[in-house]
Amino acid sequence: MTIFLLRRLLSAVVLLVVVSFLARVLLYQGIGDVARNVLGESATEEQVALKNQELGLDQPLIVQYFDWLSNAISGDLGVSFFSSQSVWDTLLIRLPVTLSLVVVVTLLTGVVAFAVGIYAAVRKGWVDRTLQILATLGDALPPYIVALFLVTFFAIQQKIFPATGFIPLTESPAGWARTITLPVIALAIGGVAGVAQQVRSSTLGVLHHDYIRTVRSRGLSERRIILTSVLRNASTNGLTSLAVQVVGILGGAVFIEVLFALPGLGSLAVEAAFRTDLPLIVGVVLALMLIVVTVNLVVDILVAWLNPKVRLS
Amino acid sequence: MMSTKSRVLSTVVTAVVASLAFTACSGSTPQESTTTQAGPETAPLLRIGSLQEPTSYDPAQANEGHQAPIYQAVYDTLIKREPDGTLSPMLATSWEPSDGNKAYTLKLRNDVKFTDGTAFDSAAVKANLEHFTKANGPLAGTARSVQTVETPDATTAVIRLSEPDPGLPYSLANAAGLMASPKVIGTDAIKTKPVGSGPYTLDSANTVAGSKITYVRNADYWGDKLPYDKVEFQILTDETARLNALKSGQVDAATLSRAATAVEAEGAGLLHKPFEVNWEGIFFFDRDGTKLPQLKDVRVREALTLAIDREALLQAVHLGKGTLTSQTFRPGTAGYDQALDGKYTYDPDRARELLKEAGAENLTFTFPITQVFDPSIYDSIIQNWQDIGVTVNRHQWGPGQAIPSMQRGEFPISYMALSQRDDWRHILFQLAPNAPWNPFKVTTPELSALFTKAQTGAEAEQKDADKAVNEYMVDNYWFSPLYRLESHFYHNASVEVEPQTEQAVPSIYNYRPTGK
Repeated sequence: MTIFLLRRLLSAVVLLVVVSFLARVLLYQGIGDVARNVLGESATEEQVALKNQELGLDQPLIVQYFDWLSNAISGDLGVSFFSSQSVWDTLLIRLPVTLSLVVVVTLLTGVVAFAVGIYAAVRKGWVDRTLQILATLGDALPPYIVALFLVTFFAIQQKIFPATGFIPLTESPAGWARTITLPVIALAIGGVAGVAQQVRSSTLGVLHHDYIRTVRSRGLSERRIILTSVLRNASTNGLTSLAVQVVGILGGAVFIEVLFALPGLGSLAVEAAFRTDLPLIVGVVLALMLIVVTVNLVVDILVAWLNPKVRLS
Repeated sequence: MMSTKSRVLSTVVTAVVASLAFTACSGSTPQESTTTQAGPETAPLLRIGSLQEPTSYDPAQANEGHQAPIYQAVYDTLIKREPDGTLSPMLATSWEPSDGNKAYTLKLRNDVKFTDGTAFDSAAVKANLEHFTKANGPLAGTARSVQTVETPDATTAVIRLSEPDPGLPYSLANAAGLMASPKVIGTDAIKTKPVGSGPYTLDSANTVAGSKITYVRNADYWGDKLPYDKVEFQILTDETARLNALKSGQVDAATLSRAATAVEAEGAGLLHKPFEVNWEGIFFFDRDGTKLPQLKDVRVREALTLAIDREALLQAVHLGKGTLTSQTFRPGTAGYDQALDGKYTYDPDRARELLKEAGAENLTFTFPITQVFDPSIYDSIIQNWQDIGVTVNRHQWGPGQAIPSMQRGEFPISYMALSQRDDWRHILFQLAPNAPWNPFKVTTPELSALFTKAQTGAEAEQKDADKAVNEYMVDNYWFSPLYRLESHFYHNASVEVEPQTEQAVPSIYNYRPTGK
C-alpha cells in the first residue's frame, strides 16, 4: 500500500508541473495585452510599457515560467496582476467555499446514490423503473437550470434560502448550511442520477453471482447479505463513477458559484479569466487539479481497500 | 386513489409551477422612482450590489465608474461632483486657475483629520498627488499634466501644470482627488486597509474579498453625515445573481447590464430613474485609410453609417431603452447640439450610391466581435452592411482581448461603447491625436486648431471650440454613434437614489432612506 501511495503522489507532482507549464503557455498565447487590461482603457503607451515591465511580461515566456516555478517550489505562487493580493492568500480565502460545496455534494451524492441504486436493484419493478426515469431526467437537467428554478422558488418567492452570498462555517454553522443548501442541491442532482445508475447495474450483476446464492443458502438475512457481500463488491464501480462526478461537480461549481455569488474557486476562475489575471488563473487551475487528484487518490485507496486485486495490480 | 405522499408531492409541484407562472406573467409596467417626501434622517444599513470590487484601496490604483462609490465611502475627494455633474467644494473650498491656466490654486479646509489622527493639509495634497502621478494606476493619465505641487501654507496648495488642463478640476473630483493619510501612502498596508477622511471606515472583520465590503460610520466625520450607519457592497459579478439578489431583497440597489433583465426587474416592482451614461456605435478608427484605404473617403464612412438601421437595433436589442444619436458629445456639455442627434438616418439606397461614387463597391473588411456585446448587434450591423454590397469577415476576440486590440489599432472599424465625458476630457479620451481611443492618431490642421482653443482659450472660446469639434466629427463621420443607452440601475422602495452624471452607478452621497 505504501508503494502504491508513493507512486500516486509522484504522478500527482509530475502532473502539477506539466499542467502548470501548459496552463502558462496556452494562456500566454491567448490573453493578449494584460498590461492594458490592468491599466484600463485610459492608459497611455508609456503606462502600458511600464506596467509590462512591472509585471515581468517583457521577459521571454520560458524565463517567466521558470521564475514562477522556482518561486512556486518555495511556496510563492506570485501576486495577482490586478490586485495586490498574493495568489496563495486568495486561494486560501476562496478554497473553503469550493470545498464546502465539493465535500458536501460528494458525500450527499455518495450516500443518496448508493442507497437509491441498491434499493432499485434489490426491489426491481416500479421502483427500478422510476429510478431509471429520474436518473435520465437528472442527467438531462443542467445544474444551472436546476439552480435557477431553486432560486426562483425557494429564495425569491418563498424566501426560505438566500439567493446569493456565503457565510463561513466558522462564523455560523446554520448560516453556512442555509447559504449552501440550494447550490448543493443544484450540483448534486445530476451526480446522484449518474452514480445511482452505476451502483444499480453493479448491484444487479453481483446479485446474480453464485457466491451470493451460496451466502443466501446459509440462511443469512437479506439485509446482512446486501451490507456485507453485495455492497463491498458492487461499490467499486460506484466509487469510480463518483470520482468522475467530482470533476463534473467542479465544472458545475464554476457556474453555480457565479450564479449564487459564492466567493469560491469557480467564480474566481471566471473573474480571473475575464480579467486575464495569469497568476490567478494558474493558481486556480492548480488548486482545482489538486482537488481532483486528492479525490481520485481517496477513491483509489477506498477501492484498493475494498478490492485486494487492485492493490496487487 | 392518491396516497398522502403523492398528494403532498402533487401540491408542492403545483405550487411551484403556479408561482413560477405567476412571476412570469406579473405586470411589467416600468416604475420610475420619484423623489419622495423626506424619509428618516438615518437608517441602519444600505446594501448595494456591486458589479466590481477594488483591486486595491490605494487611491492611486482607484478606478472610476462602478468602483467610484466604494472609494468615496472611505476617501473624500478634493472637489465633489454633484449628481448633475457640477463641481462643489469638499476638502478644497476653492480652486482657481492662474499662471495662464498652467496652475490651479486650491484653498483647503483646516478642520479635517484622517481616521489615523493625521491632519489634512497642503502637505497631504502634495503627497497624494505625487504618489498618484508616479504609481502608474489606471487613471494616472488623468493627472498627467501635473508637474509639481507647492505648499505655501497649510491650507493652500498650488498645482503647477505642464500645459493648460481644463479637465483637472474634474480629475480632482475623481480618482486623482482621493485623499489618503500621508502616513500610509506608498505602504503595503493601504492596499487592504484604507485610511482616509471619508464618511465611513472599512470594517475589515466583516469584509470578505470577492464577496462583501462592509463600511461603518466614521463617528468623527468632519462633513454632513450620510444617512446610513453601515453600508455593504455585495460583490455580484453575474447579472442573474444581481437580479436575484434585488428580487429577493438581499440588496437594496444594484445595476443591471441588459435591457431584458431590466424589464424583469420592472416586472418585480423594482424602481429606477432612467439616465444615460454611455454611447454605443461604430468607431471608424482608420480615418486616414492606413489599413483600409477606402475608409479615408468620407463617403465610404457615410455609406457604412447610413446602412445601419439604428432604430431597429435600439428597439430589438435594447428594447427601446435609449436615445438615438449621431454625436458622441454628452447632453449638458457645451459641445452638445441636440439638432445633431437625428442627423444620421437609415438610407440603404443612398448608402449604395455613396459606395459607387467612392468607387468602393467591392469594399471588404474584417469586423472584430467581442462576447461583451449581444451577438445580435453584430449580426444586425453585418447584415445591414451586406445589404449594401459590403463583404464583412468576422474576427472573434477572446476574453480581455478587445480593448487592447482596438487601442493597438489592429482593426480599422469596430463596435464599442464608451462613457460620455465633459468636453475636454472627451477630446483627450477619444479625439486628440494621442487619445487612447484614436489608435491611428488621426488628426487634421483644422482639428488641431480647435483642440488648442478648447484647451487654452477663454471660457467662451473653449465652448465655441467644443461645439465646432463636435460638428466636425459628425460632418466627417469620425464615428457612427447609434444611441445613448439607458443605465439600468434598480432599487427597492426602502431607498431613494439620485443618478450620477457620467457614472454608471450613483455616488455614495446619492442614497436616502425612505422609511419604507
